[in-house]
Order: sequence, then C-alpha cells, then structure tokens
Amino acid sequence: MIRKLVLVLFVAFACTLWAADSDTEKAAVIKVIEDAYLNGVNNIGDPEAMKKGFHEDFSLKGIIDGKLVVLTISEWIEIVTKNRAEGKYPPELKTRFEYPMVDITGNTAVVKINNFRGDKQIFTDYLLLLKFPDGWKITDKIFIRH
Amino acid sequence: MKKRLIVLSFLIFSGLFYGLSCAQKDNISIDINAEINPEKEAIKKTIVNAYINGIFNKGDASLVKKGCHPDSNVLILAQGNLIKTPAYSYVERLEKNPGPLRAGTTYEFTDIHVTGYAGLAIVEIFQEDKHIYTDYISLYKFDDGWKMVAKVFYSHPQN
Repeated sequence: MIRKLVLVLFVAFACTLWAADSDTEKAAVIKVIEDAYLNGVNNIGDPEAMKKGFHEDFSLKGIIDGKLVVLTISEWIEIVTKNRAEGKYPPELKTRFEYPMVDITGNTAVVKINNFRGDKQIFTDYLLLLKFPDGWKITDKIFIRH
Repeated sequence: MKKRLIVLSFLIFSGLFYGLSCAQKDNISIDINAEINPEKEAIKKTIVNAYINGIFNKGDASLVKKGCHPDSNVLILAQGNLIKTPAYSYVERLEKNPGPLRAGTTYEFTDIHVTGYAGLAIVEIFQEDKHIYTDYISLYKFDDGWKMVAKVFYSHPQN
C-alpha cells in the first residue's frame, strides 16, 4: 500500500514539476516578446531592448503587392530610433498583445500574437524563437494586417 | 495519520487530474484541427510535397522549389549559435545530386493555424520509428499557393 502510494506520489510530483517547468519557459518566452517587441518596438521605443530580445539574424517577413519583403533587425531598429527622435513615443494608443498560442519544444518555440492597438486588432503575428545560452530570442516573424 | 493520508491522496489525485486535463486539452485542439479546412489541407500538401517528399523521401529539387519561397530559411541552433540556411541550398544540392536524403520518413501534423494568407504548422518527423524532429514552419500564401518561408526545429535526443 505504502509502496503504491509512494509511486503515485512520485508520478504526481513529476507531473507537477513538468507543468511548472513548461510554465516557466512560457513566461520566459512571453517576457522576451514583451520587453523587445511590445515595449521595445511599440509602447516605449527602446532600441537596446530590441537588440536584447531579437537575434541579430532575425528577419521580419511581410507580403507587399503579393511579394515577400524582408526587413532585418538593424533596419527595424533604425525605424524605431527615427520614430523616437521624432517624438513619436509614447504612442497615443498603446499596443496590447494576446497570446492565443504558445508552443514550446525544448529550445524551440512558436507564438501567435493577436496584436491590438487600443481595442482594435491590427495584426496577427507568428513568431519563431530559439533558446540560446543567454536566453530566448525572436528569430523570425510573419504577420498579416487585419 | 488517516487524515493526512486523505489529504495526501486528494493532492495526488488533483495533481493527476490536472495532468490529465492538460493532455485532454491537447487532444481537443487536435480534434478542432482535424475538421476539414481547405487552407489547412493546402498547407499540409505544400509541406508534404516540398519538404517530406522533396527532401527526405524523394529528393527532388523541383518539389522543394515549388513549396519553398526563394527567401525561405531554416534556422538551425548549433552549439548555441544560429546558422541561417537558405532552403534553396537544398535545391542546389538536389539538382547536383538528386535522391532521397532519408527514405521512409513519416510525419504527423500536430497543429496548423491559418490567419488569412499567413500560416503556421507544427509537424513531428519520424525516421525508423523514432521521433527525430519537431518542426515549426511558417508559411505565406502567394498567387501560386502556400510556400514555406521559415522553419525552426527541435532535434529530439536519440539514445
């Protein structure tokens, strides 16, 4: 009886650890996105925060007139820096992210973002992330404007 | 002692129940995705033709070309560094030296999301009955159909 109990206890404990571990990773992934992207790009305009959370080889892929257009992270940082110099921060309407999907397997993650300005959804983003020795970094983004 | 045992059992069962409900949630999301959605079917077809068959099972450059955008890349995490490999490097390789990279590769789509012309697929890759990779593939729909534009993957440790 006691042996069985110990076994069940062990399984339950392992389950709890597993759940806690995946929650920690999920929180870490979301923190990187909020620091570097939500605040770094949209709400604060912080090039340093962008450099921290986006990998230097990150690419932002979009579709313009049916063609794929790629923006590098240094080009995106340039835009944010320019906007900052022009006094465009803080923006009139704050950006808010919802995360309908966060999927993590080991050192690999994908996140779907419902991207709102005020209460209107402007974009849906799909981000790919990898976990490096110094933490999660955003490596790729595709999006659609609503 | 008896009371403690009851409390302990309660905790254990609520833990187990939580675990089970997590597992069930996963199943439900798979069921939702199992509903026939033409865009999701088209995404599956692109991935199976250009990646699973184009690279692994047939090794045919023309299949890879059809389903991968020329600017598509595979983001490989190797010893803590990012290696950004153009998907078209496989095209060049297969044009010179056609043939399956790994015949008998099988797959399972665990999740597909579509928002307008943007899509994301989670695919499990199996070779010799072993779970080798979990792939996260992003896609855009162009005038001539869905094409992969980026991929990251997790390499499952093998004993």
